Amino acid sequence: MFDLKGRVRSTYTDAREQLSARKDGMFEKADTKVLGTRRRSVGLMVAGVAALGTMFTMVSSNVMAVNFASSNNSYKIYTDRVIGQYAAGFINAQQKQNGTTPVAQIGFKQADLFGMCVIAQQDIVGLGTVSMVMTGGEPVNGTVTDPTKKISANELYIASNSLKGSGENISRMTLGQSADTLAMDTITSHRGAPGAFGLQAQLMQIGNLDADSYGIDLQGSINLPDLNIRVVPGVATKTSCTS
Amino acid sequence: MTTLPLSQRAADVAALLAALRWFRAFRRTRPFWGGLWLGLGGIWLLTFANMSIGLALGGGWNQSAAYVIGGGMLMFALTAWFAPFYSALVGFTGVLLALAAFVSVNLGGFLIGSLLGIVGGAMVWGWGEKKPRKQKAEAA
Repeated sequence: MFDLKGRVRSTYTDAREQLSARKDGMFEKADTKVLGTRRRSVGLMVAGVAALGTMFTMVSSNVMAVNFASSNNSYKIYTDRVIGQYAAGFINAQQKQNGTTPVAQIGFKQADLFGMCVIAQQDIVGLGTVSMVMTGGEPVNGTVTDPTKKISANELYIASNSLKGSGENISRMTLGQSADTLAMDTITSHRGAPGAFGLQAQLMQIGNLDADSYGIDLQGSINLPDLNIRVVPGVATKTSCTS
Repeated sequence: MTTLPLSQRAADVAALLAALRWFRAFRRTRPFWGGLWLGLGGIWLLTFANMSIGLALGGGWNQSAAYVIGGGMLMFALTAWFAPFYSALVGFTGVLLALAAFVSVNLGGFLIGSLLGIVGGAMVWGWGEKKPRKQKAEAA
């Protein structure tokens, strides 16, 4: 007869024996062998950090482009002036891990930013709230001081629930265009629901832009001259951008 | 010294000591610390990008990079822990992933994830049998 009970019991005891043998082996190995991180690790560590430093300088001196995408964190973005070619915007709901938030989805086919400062907040267990401040280009202080250090971004999308700034030069803008007909020159993927409010402009120059954003999505690439990243304890404000 | 009756408390202490002894042996037979830093780097990349899995699956490389690279670092860290035989391989690949994270995942989670990955990966890579102290003393 098929002895199920006995089989189960013997499998169980076998597994237990194997496990305890493995444990004994581990104990024996721990006692007899001296295992650990050897000195050669330092070499790779130094090489790795050097490679990271090289990439950092390449990014900050405009040779290399980086990717930047996030969807759940609320970022603060500050810039002295943004000049966008072929911009389109509409209102919809931004997906988040915990539900949705209404945001304005704004896209630029090509955007030049004069100074950029991104502040991201993160709660870290044991440390409390820390803010990461990333600056690039010229200092963000309200006025354009060094136009040669402009940041160029291709296909920049921002999902923002608060935008403040002053329109300096806007041309060929349509307001109230149905969101499903929007186009950024040749790009037609940035569209909303039919009948929803849409905005489209060929040129959009905005000064002193302050934005609360739920997502920065860069389909293209960005160059970041004078890149600087630092961590500030607590909640950082716009004044942290220049200090 | 008088022997105390084995109370519940003493049994608890014995169990705790046994667990500590097990953990010590566990720690000493695998690249524990390197794997820990590498794994934390991967977790940091994932939490900092904070991308919902739906968007990551629907979007392109931009959206999924955090899952691919951060998840890869975490996977290599677990491999280093539970299959120490491959530590040299996964440590080196972990360092490469941490470097790739700088260009593709939010500047390596604002540098922190990349740095943790490089340090942890290098430690995993360089893990192995050390020369016993005795031999060193004899040679000197």
